[in-house]
Amino acid sequence: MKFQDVTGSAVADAVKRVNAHLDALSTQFVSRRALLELVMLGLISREHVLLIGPPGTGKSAAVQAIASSFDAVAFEYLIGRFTEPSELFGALDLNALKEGQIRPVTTGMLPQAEIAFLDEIFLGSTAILNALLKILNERTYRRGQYSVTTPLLSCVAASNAMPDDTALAAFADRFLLTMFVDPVDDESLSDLLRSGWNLAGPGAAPDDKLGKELLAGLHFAALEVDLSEVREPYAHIVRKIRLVGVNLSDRKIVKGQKLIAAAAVLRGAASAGPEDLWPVTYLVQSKAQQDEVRELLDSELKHSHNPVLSQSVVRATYGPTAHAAHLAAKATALLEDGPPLPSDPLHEVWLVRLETMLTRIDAAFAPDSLPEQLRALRATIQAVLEKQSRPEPAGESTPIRTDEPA
Amino acid sequence: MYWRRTAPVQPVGALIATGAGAPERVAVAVAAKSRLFGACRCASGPNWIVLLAAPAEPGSASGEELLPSIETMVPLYDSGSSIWLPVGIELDVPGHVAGPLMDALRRRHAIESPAVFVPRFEEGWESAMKADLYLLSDLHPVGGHRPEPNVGAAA
Repeated sequence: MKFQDVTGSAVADAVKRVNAHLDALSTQFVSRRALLELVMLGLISREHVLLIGPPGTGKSAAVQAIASSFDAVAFEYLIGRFTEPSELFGALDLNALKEGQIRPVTTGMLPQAEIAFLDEIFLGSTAILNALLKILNERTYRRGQYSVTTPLLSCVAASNAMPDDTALAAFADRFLLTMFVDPVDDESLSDLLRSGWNLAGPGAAPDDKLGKELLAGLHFAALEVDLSEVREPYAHIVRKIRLVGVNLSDRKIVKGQKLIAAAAVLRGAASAGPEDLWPVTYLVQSKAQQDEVRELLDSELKHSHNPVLSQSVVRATYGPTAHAAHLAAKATALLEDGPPLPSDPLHEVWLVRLETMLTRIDAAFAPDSLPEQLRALRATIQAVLEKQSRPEPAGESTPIRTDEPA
Repeated sequence: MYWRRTAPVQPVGALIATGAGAPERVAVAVAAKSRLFGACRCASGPNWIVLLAAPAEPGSASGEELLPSIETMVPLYDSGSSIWLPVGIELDVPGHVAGPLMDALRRRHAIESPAVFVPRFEEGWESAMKADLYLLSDLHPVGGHRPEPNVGAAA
Protein backbone atom coordinates (compact mmCIF):
# COMPACT_ATOMS: atom_id res chain seq x y z
CA MET A 1 0.00 0.00 0.00
CA LYS A 2 1.49 3.34 -1.04
CA PHE A 3 0.54 6.56 0.66
CA GLN A 4 2.56 9.24 -1.12
CA ASP A 5 -0.47 11.20 -2.22
CA VAL A 6 -2.67 12.40 0.64
CA THR A 7 -5.76 12.39 -1.55
CA GLY A 8 -4.86 9.09 -3.18
CA SER A 9 -7.09 6.04 -3.12
CA ALA A 10 -4.84 4.21 -0.63
CA VAL A 11 -5.41 6.92 1.93
CA ALA A 12 -9.13 7.02 1.12
CA ASP A 13 -9.33 3.25 1.63
CA ALA A 14 -7.41 3.48 4.90
CA VAL A 15 -9.70 6.25 6.16
CA LYS A 16 -12.72 4.15 5.21
CA ARG A 17 -11.32 1.18 7.13
CA VAL A 18 -10.58 3.31 10.18
CA ASN A 19 -14.14 4.63 10.11
CA ALA A 20 -15.64 1.13 9.83
CA HIS A 21 -13.36 0.01 12.63
CA LEU A 22 -14.53 2.83 14.88
CA ASP A 23 -18.16 2.03 13.99
CA ALA A 24 -17.68 -1.60 15.01
CA LEU A 25 -15.90 -0.74 18.24
CA SER A 26 -18.36 1.95 19.26
CA THR A 27 -21.26 -0.50 19.13
CA GLN A 28 -19.62 -2.22 22.11
CA PHE A 29 -19.16 0.92 24.16
CA VAL A 30 -22.17 3.17 24.68
CA SER A 31 -21.35 6.90 24.44
CA ARG A 32 -17.63 6.17 24.07
CA ARG A 33 -17.23 6.85 20.35
CA ALA A 34 -15.42 10.12 21.07
CA LEU A 35 -12.95 8.35 23.36
CA LEU A 36 -12.23 5.72 20.71
CA GLU A 37 -11.81 8.42 18.06
CA LEU A 38 -9.37 10.36 20.20
CA VAL A 39 -7.25 7.27 20.84
CA MET A 40 -7.26 6.69 17.08
CA LEU A 41 -6.18 10.29 16.48
CA GLY A 42 -3.35 9.73 18.98
CA LEU A 43 -2.23 6.58 17.17
CA ILE A 44 -2.21 8.26 13.78
CA SER A 45 -0.44 11.40 14.97
CA ARG A 46 1.85 9.32 17.27
CA GLU A 47 0.95 11.37 20.27
CA HIS A 48 -0.17 10.38 23.75
CA VAL A 49 -3.67 10.53 25.19
CA LEU A 50 -4.73 11.18 28.78
CA LEU A 51 -8.17 10.05 29.97
CA ILE A 52 -9.51 11.58 33.16
CA GLY A 53 -12.66 10.25 34.76
CA PRO A 54 -14.17 8.32 37.65
CA PRO A 55 -13.68 4.56 37.95
CA GLY A 56 -16.12 2.33 36.13
CA THR A 57 -16.69 4.57 33.13
CA GLY A 58 -15.28 2.08 30.64
CA LYS A 59 -11.99 3.86 29.96
CA SER A 60 -9.87 0.75 30.40
CA ALA A 61 -12.22 -1.56 28.50
CA ALA A 62 -12.50 0.82 25.55
CA VAL A 63 -8.73 1.31 25.31
CA GLN A 64 -8.10 -2.42 25.66
CA ALA A 65 -10.59 -3.08 22.88
CA ILE A 66 -9.00 -0.59 20.50
CA ALA A 67 -5.46 -1.78 21.36
CA SER A 68 -6.33 -5.42 20.74
CA SER A 69 -8.04 -4.53 17.46
CA PHE A 70 -4.67 -3.58 15.95
CA ASP A 71 -2.04 -5.93 14.71
CA ALA A 72 0.43 -4.30 17.07
CA VAL A 73 2.33 -5.13 20.27
CA ALA A 74 0.30 -3.82 23.19
CA PHE A 75 1.23 -3.43 26.84
CA GLU A 76 -1.11 -2.51 29.66
CA TYR A 77 -0.59 -2.10 33.37
CA LEU A 78 -2.47 -0.85 36.40
CA ILE A 79 0.04 1.21 38.32
CA GLY A 80 -0.10 1.36 42.11
CA ARG A 81 1.87 3.20 44.75
CA PHE A 82 4.16 0.20 45.24
CA THR A 83 4.66 -0.73 41.58
CA GLU A 84 8.34 -1.44 40.88
CA PRO A 85 9.94 -0.10 37.68
CA SER A 86 10.77 -3.68 36.71
CA GLU A 87 7.04 -4.46 36.47
CA LEU A 88 6.82 -2.07 33.55
CA PHE A 89 10.28 -2.03 32.01
CA GLY A 90 11.52 -5.56 32.73
CA ALA A 91 13.71 -7.16 35.39
CA LEU A 92 17.48 -7.16 35.13
CA ASP A 93 19.07 -9.93 33.07
CA LEU A 94 20.95 -11.94 35.72
CA ASN A 95 23.36 -13.50 33.22
CA ALA A 96 24.31 -10.05 31.94
CA LEU A 97 24.62 -8.85 35.53
CA LYS A 98 27.13 -11.62 36.25
CA GLU A 99 29.24 -10.16 33.46
CA GLY A 100 28.95 -6.73 35.06
CA GLN A 101 26.37 -5.37 32.64
CA ILE A 102 23.06 -3.75 33.50
CA ARG A 103 20.55 -4.94 30.93
CA PRO A 104 16.84 -5.46 31.55
CA VAL A 105 14.83 -8.21 29.89
CA THR A 106 12.34 -6.08 27.98
CA THR A 107 10.55 -8.88 26.13
CA GLY A 108 6.80 -8.35 26.46
CA MET A 109 7.35 -5.19 28.52
CA LEU A 110 6.67 -1.50 27.92
CA PRO A 111 9.96 -0.74 26.07
CA GLN A 112 8.85 -3.12 23.30
CA ALA A 113 5.24 -2.00 23.13
CA GLU A 114 3.74 -0.15 20.18
CA ILE A 115 0.55 0.72 22.00
CA ALA A 116 0.63 1.20 25.78
CA PHE A 117 -2.17 1.66 28.27
CA LEU A 118 -1.21 2.74 31.77
CA ASP A 119 -4.03 2.99 34.27
CA GLU A 120 -3.66 5.22 37.37
CA ILE A 121 -0.61 6.79 35.79
CA PHE A 122 -0.05 9.43 38.46
CA LEU A 123 0.42 6.80 41.18
CA GLY A 124 3.77 5.84 39.60
CA SER A 125 6.97 6.42 41.56
CA THR A 126 9.51 9.05 40.55
CA ALA A 127 11.71 6.31 39.05
CA ILE A 128 8.81 5.07 36.90
CA LEU A 129 7.71 8.51 35.78
CA ASN A 130 11.28 9.58 34.90
CA ALA A 131 11.81 6.48 32.76
CA LEU A 132 8.37 7.02 31.20
CA LEU A 133 9.14 10.64 30.42
CA LYS A 134 12.05 9.60 28.24
CA ILE A 135 9.98 6.97 26.47
CA LEU A 136 7.11 9.40 25.84
CA ASN A 137 9.33 12.27 24.68
CA GLU A 138 12.21 10.59 22.93
CA ARG A 139 11.01 7.04 22.37
CA THR A 140 14.07 5.86 24.26
CA TYR A 141 14.31 3.62 27.31
CA ARG A 142 17.47 4.05 29.35
CA ARG A 143 18.67 2.22 32.41
CA GLY A 144 22.21 3.06 33.43
CA GLN A 145 24.34 2.66 30.34
CA TYR A 146 21.69 0.51 28.68
CA SER A 147 19.66 2.38 26.12
CA VAL A 148 17.16 1.18 23.53
CA THR A 149 14.91 2.86 21.02
CA THR A 150 11.26 1.99 21.68
CA PRO A 151 8.69 1.41 18.91
CA LEU A 152 5.93 3.19 20.86
CA LEU A 153 3.26 4.74 18.65
CA SER A 154 1.04 6.08 21.40
CA CYS A 155 0.62 5.77 25.13
CA VAL A 156 -2.86 6.10 26.56
CA ALA A 157 -2.93 6.85 30.27
CA ALA A 158 -5.85 7.08 32.64
CA SER A 159 -6.46 8.61 36.02
CA ASN A 160 -9.39 9.53 38.23
CA ALA A 161 -8.31 13.16 38.41
CA MET A 162 -5.70 15.61 37.21
CA PRO A 163 -2.85 15.92 39.71
CA ASP A 164 -2.48 19.06 41.83
CA ASP A 165 1.26 18.51 42.26
CA THR A 166 3.19 20.78 39.87
CA ALA A 167 5.80 18.12 39.06
CA LEU A 168 3.06 15.68 38.09
CA ALA A 169 1.27 18.40 36.13
CA ALA A 170 4.45 18.92 34.12
CA PHE A 171 4.48 15.17 33.43
CA ALA A 172 0.81 15.30 32.41
CA ASP A 173 1.70 18.03 29.92
CA ARG A 174 3.52 15.36 27.85
CA PHE A 175 0.12 13.97 26.93
CA LEU A 176 -1.00 16.05 24.00
CA LEU A 177 -4.66 15.04 24.06
CA THR A 178 -6.76 15.12 27.22
CA MET A 179 -10.32 13.87 27.45
CA PHE A 180 -12.58 14.05 30.49
CA VAL A 181 -14.75 10.94 30.61
CA ASP A 182 -18.11 11.20 32.38
CA PRO A 183 -20.53 8.39 33.22
CA VAL A 184 -23.06 7.84 30.41
CA ASP A 185 -26.09 10.11 30.58
CA ASP A 186 -29.49 8.93 31.82
CA GLU A 187 -30.92 8.67 28.30
CA SER A 188 -28.26 6.13 27.28
CA LEU A 189 -28.61 3.92 30.36
CA SER A 190 -30.73 1.26 28.67
CA ASP A 191 -28.23 1.10 25.79
CA LEU A 192 -25.45 0.77 28.36
CA LEU A 193 -27.20 -2.14 30.07
CA ARG A 194 -27.85 -3.88 26.75
CA SER A 195 -24.31 -3.36 25.54
CA GLY A 196 -22.79 -4.42 28.87
CA TRP A 197 -24.85 -7.62 28.79
CA ASN A 198 -23.79 -8.38 25.22
CA LEU A 199 -20.14 -7.84 26.11
CA ALA A 200 -20.40 -10.64 28.66
CA GLY A 201 -21.31 -12.99 25.82
CA PRO A 202 -19.45 -13.63 22.58
CA GLY A 203 -17.71 -10.42 21.52
CA ALA A 204 -18.82 -8.20 18.67
CA ALA A 205 -15.29 -6.99 17.93
CA PRO A 206 -14.32 -5.81 14.42
CA ASP A 207 -13.90 -8.70 11.99
CA ASP A 208 -10.28 -8.05 11.07
CA LYS A 209 -7.41 -6.32 12.80
CA LEU A 210 -5.98 -3.12 11.43
CA GLY A 211 -2.35 -3.39 10.48
CA LYS A 212 0.45 -1.15 11.72
CA GLU A 213 1.27 -0.23 8.13
CA LEU A 214 -2.16 1.35 7.79
CA LEU A 215 -1.50 3.57 10.80
CA ALA A 216 1.98 4.35 9.49
CA GLY A 217 0.55 5.25 6.10
CA LEU A 218 -1.95 7.67 7.61
CA HIS A 219 0.78 9.11 9.84
CA PHE A 220 3.05 9.86 6.90
CA ALA A 221 0.14 11.19 4.88
CA ALA A 222 -0.53 13.62 7.75
CA LEU A 223 3.07 14.80 7.63
CA GLU A 224 2.47 15.76 3.98
CA VAL A 225 -0.60 17.88 4.75
CA ASP A 226 -0.32 21.56 3.80
CA LEU A 227 -0.88 23.62 6.95
CA SER A 228 -0.21 27.06 5.45
CA GLU A 229 -3.90 28.07 5.38
CA VAL A 230 -4.47 27.34 9.08
CA ARG A 231 -1.26 28.63 10.68
CA GLU A 232 -2.49 32.17 11.24
CA PRO A 233 -6.01 31.12 12.38
CA TYR A 234 -4.35 28.60 14.71
CA ALA A 235 -2.05 31.28 16.13
CA HIS A 236 -5.09 33.54 16.60
CA ILE A 237 -6.88 30.78 18.50
CA VAL A 238 -3.87 30.16 20.74
CA ARG A 239 -3.57 33.90 21.49
CA LYS A 240 -7.27 34.00 22.35
CA ILE A 241 -6.98 30.97 24.64
CA ARG A 242 -3.95 32.41 26.43
CA LEU A 243 -5.75 35.70 26.87
CA VAL A 244 -8.32 34.08 29.17
CA GLY A 245 -5.56 32.58 31.31
CA VAL A 246 -5.42 29.04 29.94
CA ASN A 247 -1.87 27.77 29.95
CA LEU A 248 -0.73 26.04 26.75
CA SER A 249 2.97 25.20 26.59
CA ASP A 250 4.95 26.04 23.45
CA ARG A 251 5.60 22.32 23.02
CA LYS A 252 1.89 21.60 22.97
CA ILE A 253 1.11 24.36 20.54
CA VAL A 254 3.73 23.14 18.09
CA LYS A 255 2.67 19.51 18.40
CA GLY A 256 -0.98 20.50 18.07
CA GLN A 257 -0.29 20.95 14.36
CA LYS A 258 0.16 17.17 14.08
CA LEU A 259 -3.40 16.70 15.31
CA ILE A 260 -4.73 19.28 12.86
CA ALA A 261 -2.90 17.54 10.02
CA ALA A 262 -4.18 14.09 11.06
CA ALA A 263 -7.73 15.49 11.28
CA ALA A 264 -7.36 16.83 7.73
CA VAL A 265 -6.21 13.42 6.46
CA LEU A 266 -9.18 11.71 8.07
CA ARG A 267 -11.39 14.32 6.39
CA GLY A 268 -9.84 13.28 3.09
CA ALA A 269 -8.11 16.63 2.51
CA ALA A 270 -4.57 17.39 1.40
CA SER A 271 -4.65 20.84 3.00
CA ALA A 272 -5.82 21.62 6.50
CA GLY A 273 -8.68 24.11 6.69
CA PRO A 274 -10.85 25.77 9.32
CA GLU A 275 -12.69 22.44 9.61
CA ASP A 276 -9.61 20.87 11.22
CA LEU A 277 -8.79 23.27 14.05
CA TRP A 278 -11.06 21.63 16.66
CA PRO A 279 -8.37 19.36 18.26
CA VAL A 280 -7.08 22.50 19.99
CA THR A 281 -9.81 22.02 22.64
CA TYR A 282 -8.19 18.74 23.69
CA LEU A 283 -4.84 20.45 24.33
CA VAL A 284 -6.37 22.04 27.42
CA GLN A 285 -5.93 19.97 30.61
CA SER A 286 -8.75 21.24 32.81
CA LYS A 287 -12.39 20.28 32.41
CA ALA A 288 -13.67 23.75 33.31
CA GLN A 289 -11.20 25.37 30.93
CA GLN A 290 -12.11 22.98 28.11
CA ASP A 291 -15.74 24.08 28.56
CA GLU A 292 -14.63 27.72 28.58
CA VAL A 293 -12.50 27.27 25.47
CA ARG A 294 -15.38 25.60 23.61
CA GLU A 295 -17.55 28.65 24.17
CA LEU A 296 -14.72 31.10 23.63
CA LEU A 297 -13.90 29.61 20.23
CA ASP A 298 -17.52 29.38 19.12
CA SER A 299 -16.98 31.42 15.97
CA GLU A 300 -13.46 30.10 15.19
CA LEU A 301 -14.53 26.45 15.41
CA LYS A 302 -17.98 26.77 13.86
CA HIS A 303 -16.76 25.23 10.60
CA SER A 304 -15.44 22.12 12.37
CA HIS A 305 -16.26 18.94 10.57
CA ASN A 306 -14.88 15.42 10.33
CA PRO A 307 -16.81 12.44 9.02
CA VAL A 308 -14.61 9.93 10.88
CA LEU A 309 -14.00 11.77 14.13
CA SER A 310 -17.55 13.13 14.34
CA GLN A 311 -18.08 12.70 18.09
CA SER A 312 -14.69 14.20 18.98
CA VAL A 313 -15.70 17.25 16.94
CA VAL A 314 -19.02 17.43 18.77
CA ARG A 315 -17.28 17.38 22.15
CA ALA A 316 -14.65 19.88 21.06
CA THR A 317 -16.93 22.54 19.68
CA TYR A 318 -19.92 24.57 20.62
CA GLY A 319 -21.50 25.10 17.27
CA PRO A 320 -23.94 23.75 14.72
CA THR A 321 -22.12 20.41 14.46
CA ALA A 322 -22.48 19.76 18.16
CA HIS A 323 -26.03 21.10 18.13
CA ALA A 324 -26.99 18.88 15.18
CA ALA A 325 -25.61 15.82 16.94
CA HIS A 326 -27.44 16.75 20.13
CA LEU A 327 -30.74 17.22 18.25
CA ALA A 328 -30.23 14.00 16.32
CA ALA A 329 -29.64 12.04 19.53
CA LYS A 330 -32.74 13.56 21.14
CA ALA A 331 -34.88 12.98 18.04
CA THR A 332 -33.74 9.37 17.76
CA ALA A 333 -34.51 8.70 21.42
CA LEU A 334 -37.90 10.37 21.06
CA LEU A 335 -38.85 8.36 17.99
CA GLU A 336 -37.89 5.14 19.77
CA ASP A 337 -39.89 6.21 22.79
CA GLY A 338 -43.27 6.18 21.01
CA PRO A 339 -46.14 4.25 22.64
CA PRO A 340 -46.96 1.17 20.55
CA LEU A 341 -50.69 1.94 20.30
CA PRO A 342 -52.41 5.19 19.31
CA SER A 343 -55.00 4.42 22.01
CA ASP A 344 -52.30 4.79 24.67
CA PRO A 345 -53.01 7.92 26.76
CA LEU A 346 -49.38 8.94 26.30
CA HIS A 347 -49.63 8.87 22.52
CA GLU A 348 -50.86 12.44 22.29
CA VAL A 349 -48.09 13.67 24.58
CA TRP A 350 -45.58 11.87 22.39
CA LEU A 351 -46.93 13.54 19.24
CA VAL A 352 -46.71 16.95 20.87
CA ARG A 353 -43.10 16.24 21.90
CA LEU A 354 -42.37 15.22 18.31
CA GLU A 355 -43.81 18.49 17.02
CA THR A 356 -41.71 20.41 19.53
CA MET A 357 -38.63 18.60 18.22
CA LEU A 358 -39.61 19.71 14.71
CA THR A 359 -39.73 23.31 15.95
CA ARG A 360 -36.24 22.96 17.45
CA ILE A 361 -34.74 21.44 14.31
CA ASP A 362 -36.26 24.11 12.07
CA ALA A 363 -35.02 26.86 14.40
CA ALA A 364 -31.44 25.66 14.03
CA PHE A 365 -31.23 24.66 10.38
CA ALA A 366 -32.65 26.02 7.15
CA PRO A 367 -33.91 23.23 4.85
CA ASP A 368 -30.84 23.55 2.60
CA SER A 369 -28.35 23.32 5.47
CA LEU A 370 -29.84 20.38 7.34
CA PRO A 371 -27.20 17.74 8.11
CA GLU A 372 -27.99 14.44 6.44
CA GLN A 373 -28.82 12.46 9.59
CA LEU A 374 -31.03 15.22 10.92
CA ARG A 375 -32.76 15.56 7.55
CA ALA A 376 -33.77 11.90 7.67
CA LEU A 377 -34.99 12.19 11.26
CA ARG A 378 -36.95 15.34 10.45
CA ALA A 379 -38.64 13.58 7.54
CA THR A 380 -39.58 10.67 9.80
CA ILE A 381 -41.05 12.99 12.43
CA GLN A 382 -43.01 14.90 9.81
CA ALA A 383 -44.34 11.66 8.34
CA VAL A 384 -45.52 10.49 11.78
CA LEU A 385 -47.26 13.82 12.43
CA GLU A 386 -48.88 13.92 9.00
CA LYS A 387 -50.12 10.36 9.39
CA GLN A 388 -51.76 11.30 12.68
CA SER A 389 -53.45 14.37 11.25
CA ARG A 390 -55.12 12.36 8.45
CA PRO A 391 -58.62 11.05 9.23
CA GLU A 392 -58.75 7.33 10.05
CA PRO A 393 -60.44 5.16 7.36
CA ALA A 394 -63.89 3.87 8.36
CA GLY A 395 -63.97 0.56 10.20
CA GLU A 396 -60.67 1.01 12.01
CA SER A 397 -60.20 1.80 15.66
CA THR A 398 -60.36 5.48 16.53
CA PRO A 399 -57.21 6.86 18.11
CA ILE A 400 -57.19 9.90 20.36
CA ARG A 401 -57.61 12.97 18.20
CA THR A 402 -54.62 15.30 18.24
CA ASP A 403 -56.11 17.94 15.98
CA GLU A 404 -58.95 18.82 18.32
CA PRO A 405 -59.21 22.52 19.10
CA ALA A 406 -58.68 23.56 22.70
CA MET B 1 -26.40 49.01 20.96
CA TYR B 2 -25.33 46.54 18.27
CA TRP B 3 -26.61 43.08 17.48
CA ARG B 4 -24.91 40.35 15.48
CA ARG B 5 -25.70 37.05 13.87
CA THR B 6 -24.30 33.90 15.50
CA ALA B 7 -24.71 30.13 15.16
CA PRO B 8 -28.40 29.26 15.76
CA VAL B 9 -27.68 26.79 18.55
CA GLN B 10 -29.66 28.39 21.37
CA PRO B 11 -32.54 26.37 22.91
CA VAL B 12 -35.87 27.57 21.53
CA GLY B 13 -38.22 28.69 24.30
CA ALA B 14 -40.71 30.94 22.49
CA LEU B 15 -42.02 32.01 19.08
CA ILE B 16 -43.00 35.38 17.68
CA ALA B 17 -45.15 36.32 14.70
CA THR B 18 -45.48 39.89 13.46
CA GLY B 19 -47.47 41.66 10.78
CA ALA B 20 -51.12 42.43 10.14
CA GLY B 21 -53.42 39.73 11.51
CA ALA B 22 -50.58 37.81 13.18
CA PRO B 23 -52.46 37.13 16.47
CA GLU B 24 -55.50 35.78 14.66
CA ARG B 25 -53.41 33.60 12.33
CA VAL B 26 -51.50 32.11 15.25
CA ALA B 27 -54.67 31.57 17.28
CA VAL B 28 -56.20 29.65 14.36
CA ALA B 29 -53.01 27.61 13.86
CA VAL B 30 -52.76 26.69 17.55
CA ALA B 31 -56.45 25.81 17.71
CA ALA B 32 -55.93 23.27 14.92
CA LYS B 33 -53.27 21.48 16.97
CA SER B 34 -53.30 19.27 20.05
CA ARG B 35 -55.07 20.78 23.05
CA LEU B 36 -51.85 20.21 25.01
CA PHE B 37 -50.37 23.25 23.25
CA GLY B 38 -53.15 25.28 24.87
CA ALA B 39 -50.97 25.42 28.00
CA CYS B 40 -48.47 27.66 26.20
CA ARG B 41 -48.74 31.27 27.42
CA CYS B 42 -48.90 34.16 25.03
CA ALA B 43 -48.84 37.95 24.89
CA SER B 44 -49.95 39.99 21.92
CA GLY B 45 -50.56 43.36 20.33
CA PRO B 46 -52.59 44.26 17.21
CA ASN B 47 -49.78 43.15 14.87
CA TRP B 48 -47.74 40.71 16.89
CA ILE B 49 -47.99 37.70 19.15
CA VAL B 50 -45.43 35.88 21.27
CA LEU B 51 -45.96 32.26 22.35
CA LEU B 52 -43.95 30.90 25.29
CA ALA B 53 -43.20 27.17 25.64
CA ALA B 54 -45.21 25.22 28.23
CA PRO B 55 -43.66 22.64 30.54
CA ALA B 56 -44.23 19.12 29.20
CA GLU B 57 -44.95 17.82 32.69
CA PRO B 58 -46.06 20.61 35.02
CA GLY B 59 -44.32 20.31 38.36
CA SER B 60 -41.66 17.96 37.01
CA ALA B 61 -37.97 18.82 37.18
CA SER B 62 -37.33 17.37 33.71
CA GLY B 63 -37.29 20.86 32.17
CA GLU B 64 -38.76 19.56 28.91
CA GLU B 65 -40.99 22.09 27.17
CA LEU B 66 -43.61 22.00 24.42
CA LEU B 67 -43.91 24.40 21.50
CA PRO B 68 -45.98 24.00 18.34
CA SER B 69 -44.44 24.05 14.90
CA ILE B 70 -45.88 27.08 13.10
CA GLU B 71 -44.07 27.88 9.90
CA THR B 72 -44.43 31.66 9.90
CA MET B 73 -43.23 32.18 13.48
CA VAL B 74 -39.67 33.18 14.41
CA PRO B 75 -38.03 31.08 17.16
CA LEU B 76 -36.77 32.93 20.25
CA TYR B 77 -34.44 32.06 23.11
CA ASP B 78 -34.06 33.49 26.61
CA SER B 79 -30.78 35.41 26.59
CA GLY B 80 -31.02 35.92 30.35
CA SER B 81 -32.82 38.48 32.54
CA SER B 82 -36.08 37.50 30.75
CA ILE B 83 -34.92 39.17 27.55
CA TRP B 84 -35.83 37.09 24.53
CA LEU B 85 -33.93 37.25 21.23
CA PRO B 86 -34.40 35.49 17.89
CA VAL B 87 -32.39 32.26 17.70
CA GLY B 88 -29.08 32.98 15.93
CA ILE B 89 -28.82 36.62 17.09
CA GLU B 90 -26.97 38.03 20.09
CA LEU B 91 -25.77 41.32 21.53
CA ASP B 92 -22.57 42.35 19.76
CA VAL B 93 -20.50 42.62 22.93
CA PRO B 94 -18.17 40.19 24.78
CA GLY B 95 -20.13 37.46 26.56
CA HIS B 96 -19.35 38.62 30.09
CA VAL B 97 -20.69 42.13 29.31
CA ALA B 98 -24.03 41.05 27.79
CA GLY B 99 -25.80 40.32 31.12
CA PRO B 100 -24.93 43.60 32.89
CA LEU B 101 -25.71 45.51 29.69
CA MET B 102 -29.17 43.96 29.46
CA ASP B 103 -29.81 44.75 33.12
CA ALA B 104 -28.75 48.36 32.51
CA LEU B 105 -31.04 48.53 29.48
CA ARG B 106 -33.97 47.33 31.59
CA ARG B 107 -33.32 49.93 34.26
CA ARG B 108 -32.76 52.72 31.73
CA HIS B 109 -36.12 52.11 30.01
CA ALA B 110 -37.98 50.89 33.13
CA ILE B 111 -38.75 47.55 31.49
CA GLU B 112 -40.26 45.39 34.20
CA SER B 113 -41.95 42.62 32.24
CA PRO B 114 -40.26 40.02 30.04
CA ALA B 115 -39.37 41.56 26.69
CA VAL B 116 -38.48 40.50 23.15
CA PHE B 117 -35.93 42.36 21.02
CA VAL B 118 -36.08 41.68 17.29
CA PRO B 119 -33.10 43.42 15.63
CA ARG B 120 -33.60 44.86 12.17
CA PHE B 121 -30.87 43.52 9.89
CA GLU B 122 -30.28 45.25 6.59
CA GLU B 123 -30.13 42.83 3.65
CA GLY B 124 -26.78 41.01 3.70
CA TRP B 125 -25.56 42.68 6.91
CA GLU B 126 -24.15 40.65 9.79
CA SER B 127 -24.68 43.42 12.31
CA ALA B 128 -27.68 45.61 13.24
CA MET B 129 -28.11 48.84 15.21
CA LYS B 130 -31.91 48.98 15.55
CA ALA B 131 -34.32 46.54 17.14
CA ASP B 132 -38.07 46.29 17.69
CA LEU B 133 -39.09 45.85 21.32
CA TYR B 134 -42.12 43.85 22.39
CA LEU B 135 -43.19 43.86 26.05
CA LEU B 136 -44.77 40.67 27.35
CA SER B 137 -46.83 42.38 30.04
CA ASP B 138 -49.98 40.28 30.00
CA LEU B 139 -49.12 36.63 29.59
CA HIS B 140 -52.07 34.23 29.50
CA PRO B 141 -52.69 30.68 28.20
CA VAL B 142 -53.00 30.62 24.43
CA GLY B 143 -55.92 28.20 24.87
CA GLY B 144 -58.00 31.16 25.99
CA HIS B 145 -56.34 33.66 23.67
CA ARG B 146 -58.12 36.85 22.84
CA PRO B 147 -56.46 39.49 20.61
CA GLU B 148 -55.53 42.49 22.72
CA PRO B 149 -55.04 46.19 22.17
CA ASN B 150 -51.44 47.18 21.53
CA VAL B 151 -49.33 46.56 24.65
CA GLY B 152 -45.99 46.42 22.86
CA ALA B 153 -44.03 49.23 21.30
CA ALA B 154 -41.90 49.14 18.20
CA ALA B 155 -38.70 51.14 18.75
